Amino acid sequence: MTAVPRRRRLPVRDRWLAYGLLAPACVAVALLVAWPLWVIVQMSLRPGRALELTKLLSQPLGFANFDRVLAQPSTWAAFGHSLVYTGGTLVPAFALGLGAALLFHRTFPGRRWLRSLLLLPWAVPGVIVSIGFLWMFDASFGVVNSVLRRVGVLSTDVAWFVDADTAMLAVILPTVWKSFPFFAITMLAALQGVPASLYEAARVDGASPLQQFRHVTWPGIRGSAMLAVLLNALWTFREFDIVFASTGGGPAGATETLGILLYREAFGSFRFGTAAALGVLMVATALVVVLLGYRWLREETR
Amino acid sequence: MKPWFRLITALAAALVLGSAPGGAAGQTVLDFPTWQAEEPGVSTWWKSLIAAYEKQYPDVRINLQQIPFNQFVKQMTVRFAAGTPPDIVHLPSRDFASFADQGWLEPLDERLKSTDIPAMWPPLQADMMWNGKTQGVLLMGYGGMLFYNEQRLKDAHVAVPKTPDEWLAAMKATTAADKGLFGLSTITAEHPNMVVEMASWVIGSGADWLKGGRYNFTDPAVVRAVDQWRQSVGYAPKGTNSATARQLFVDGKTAFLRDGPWVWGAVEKASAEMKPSLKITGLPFPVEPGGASNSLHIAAKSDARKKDAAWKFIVMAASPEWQHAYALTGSPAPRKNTLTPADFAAKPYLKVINDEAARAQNLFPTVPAVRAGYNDFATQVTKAGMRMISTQDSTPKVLADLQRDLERELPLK
Amino acid sequence: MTPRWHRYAFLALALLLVAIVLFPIYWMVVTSLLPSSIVLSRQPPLLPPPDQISFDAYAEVFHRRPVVAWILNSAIVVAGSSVISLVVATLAGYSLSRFHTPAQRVAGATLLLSKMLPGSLIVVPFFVMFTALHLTDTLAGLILANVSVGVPFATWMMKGFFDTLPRELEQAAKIDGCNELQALWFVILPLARPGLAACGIYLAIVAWSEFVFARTLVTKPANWLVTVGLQSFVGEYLVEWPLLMAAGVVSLLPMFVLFVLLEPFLVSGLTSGAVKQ
Repeated sequence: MTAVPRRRRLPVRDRWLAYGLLAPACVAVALLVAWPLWVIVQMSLRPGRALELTKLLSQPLGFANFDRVLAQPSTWAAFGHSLVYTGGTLVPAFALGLGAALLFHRTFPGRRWLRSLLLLPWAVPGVIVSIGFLWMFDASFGVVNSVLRRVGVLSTDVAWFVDADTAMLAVILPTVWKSFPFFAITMLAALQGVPASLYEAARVDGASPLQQFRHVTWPGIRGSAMLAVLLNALWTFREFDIVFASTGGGPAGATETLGILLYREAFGSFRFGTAAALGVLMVATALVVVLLGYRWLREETR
Repeated sequence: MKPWFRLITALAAALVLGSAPGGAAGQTVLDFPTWQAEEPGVSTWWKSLIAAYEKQYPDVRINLQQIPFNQFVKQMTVRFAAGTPPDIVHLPSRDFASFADQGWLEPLDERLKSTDIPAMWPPLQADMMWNGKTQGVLLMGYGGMLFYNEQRLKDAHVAVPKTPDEWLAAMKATTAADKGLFGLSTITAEHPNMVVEMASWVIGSGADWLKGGRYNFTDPAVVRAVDQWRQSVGYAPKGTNSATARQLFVDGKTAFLRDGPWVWGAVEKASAEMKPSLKITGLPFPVEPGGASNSLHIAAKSDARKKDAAWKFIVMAASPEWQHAYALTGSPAPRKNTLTPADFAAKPYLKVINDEAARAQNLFPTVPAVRAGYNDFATQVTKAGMRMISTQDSTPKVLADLQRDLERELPLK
Repeated sequence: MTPRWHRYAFLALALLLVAIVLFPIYWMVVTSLLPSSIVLSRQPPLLPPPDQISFDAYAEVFHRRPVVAWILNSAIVVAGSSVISLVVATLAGYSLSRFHTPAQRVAGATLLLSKMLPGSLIVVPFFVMFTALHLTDTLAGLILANVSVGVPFATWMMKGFFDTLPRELEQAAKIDGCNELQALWFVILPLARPGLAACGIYLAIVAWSEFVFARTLVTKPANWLVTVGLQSFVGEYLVEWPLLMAAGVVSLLPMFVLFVLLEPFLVSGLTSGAVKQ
């Protein structure tokens, strides 16, 4: 850990103000984040199948839930799927978002409206995204197969969401579609923060567009980019709506991410304890990633 | 409760629009969530039953709520787990044991003594026993039905099948995937009802995948039946859940549909040109696969007054008059001899529905450990089913893996 | 200056990109306008034949379900949770930006924690708490649940934004006789408008999309939100694609209008500092 720079203690009056302003947020967080988390941690330490919380929480403490979760192969399979899903979403979403941001940073007619339209997928709820993509990628009547057949790429129907080989791709696509606008927006904002004078200087020095990107643009937006990647990674890692509403984790577990597995443990198998243990492990994993990422980020942007 | 807590609650309550209905003083309100509040046919029955009940007991009001089937069990789980169960509990019977095993349902033996339900209900009512106590009243036991598109069969020059092999041949003859026409509508996506489809083939062939209280997935008869199911799936469009499967049949895209008799209500809503072609008959299996479909219960946690009111509702639903109305919707009513020859004459399809229900064998597991952990069982079986649909792995191999996984995840002593 | 042809090349490229990205929405609209017989064909027409277009599916959607009520419910929850989150987060963000207290590190951790908790799990304690408070089946409960997601992130955004505003502003205001709160209200907040707008849109989008809370904490159809209502068309007995797509399009419209109108604030608000270190 880096040393915390010593600060002067705040004057009493300021301290009152500082905490006074924070108070509503603290109440909200204590009630709506910390308390539920506390309940979940407690649940994770109570083995047994009792579902009623009052009953569950009166059972003796123990680590049996964690034992079970760590021992079952489906946990590790789901962990792998979550990683593939997160990585498979982040890379194309970031590339697409950055590309779109670079394009829309230029001036051209109609930019304002086109930009709004481009970012629209962000405002589409995950549930609707999956319904739309399920329909587009339907094996028998979907437009994607129809077009691919017409072009001659496909001779048989590909059941995108049902075939074990394509299902992961099929759930990643809608996720990319929904999440790239977040990157586009943050990158666009970051690009506007890069001083134009730097580009002029680079051009005077005869830098090619690629060199300009490497030496002027990228250093200017790297901090924001990394933060956006980190936040989005967290979001995708626990993402539930899109996968659940499209494949439900299938076929045969091919898209079963940790979020889906957790849901199945809790509401399918009636094991809130193991579900909670899984949740605690997910948070712990994410926390490690965040702490590493955060330190690296701070060094990067220093 | 802390004062600021109350303040937040009060503020929040002020924000609410259309908050909880007040209900007149002294009125009992019974919460009744179901997945059938909008189902064609049976929803009308529920609504008129509720109206009649509220008329007879003016101090009770029933709050009927629709919850989609694919969300229903989860929603009930949350409500029971949080200690706020509904007052009238309506459950898919396959999930009954998981709920009963938590001690969430009220034993009804005492109350049943004063009714004719024990005498007049079919053997399937025994499914409502858990830990030696009767904890529910069966609302529907059924036999699976074969829906077929007569025109499509005629076009392919095939007759209505009488054996599994004939059925498979008919599916093959009616499939023209390049024209978007398929032999069969069945579940080919991750969906809780895939187990029912597979079990129909297994139980229907006379085999049993849970024989003598043990998993029996490696039995050659089971393997053969599952393999036939797997062949049938080859004639079905991929990625369909139970709703899209029905829709494709109603739209004339598929020739056959195996489903419960209640689907007749939906089939009757087909377009005018399609409707005359759509027919219903028994399944072409030596054994008729069926089972308990859904049942009514009382939550153990309700207060005594609500329990009594809910019980009166169940008794009313089980009365001859309302059972008759129920049977007319197309769902077989559990009460014996409910339909008259006159009913059969007026609606001939009721006869076949009724006959199939009478000879149906239970396709759902009866082993207690599997019943209590039904979702684990169904998850594993569905997983194996999806594997057979989406990979080339051989059927015996997939079933052997299933046997192994089940023995590990849900051991039967 | 960019040469003229460059600008048109960029325009062409942008048009192409937008066309590809919007195709899924376009296809939802097309499907919703055609009868099942055309929709369920092997070669669905990419452009809807004008003589086949009908709005029957839309009529059916509005006839069958209280879609307007659902949209209103969603609007109430979105507005309520966004406003509450924004007020709470602005105060907290300002405090974190201007006063260095140990709370800062806790705040950062909380933000990340709240992003990591799977919604399908956290909904269980919520259900217990809300039942005790009689908040299940109310929109107020959903507002609170969304606040739990909104406040941490919005606080972070607003802190980032306030960090970009120089402290000299308040010092100048104090010299003019303002106290701290007056300085915040009269000097800082007007300057923070782009940040507030950006943050508000973000909160609105997240709340509008939310599904797990809305599904679990509210059971009465009269109090359903759009996402839940739409899902109920899928969980139904039959699924008619044109109907489903029509329902989807209807539930997208309000947010699209809001988004297209307010989107410039989002970028300019973020540019000025939020979501930056």
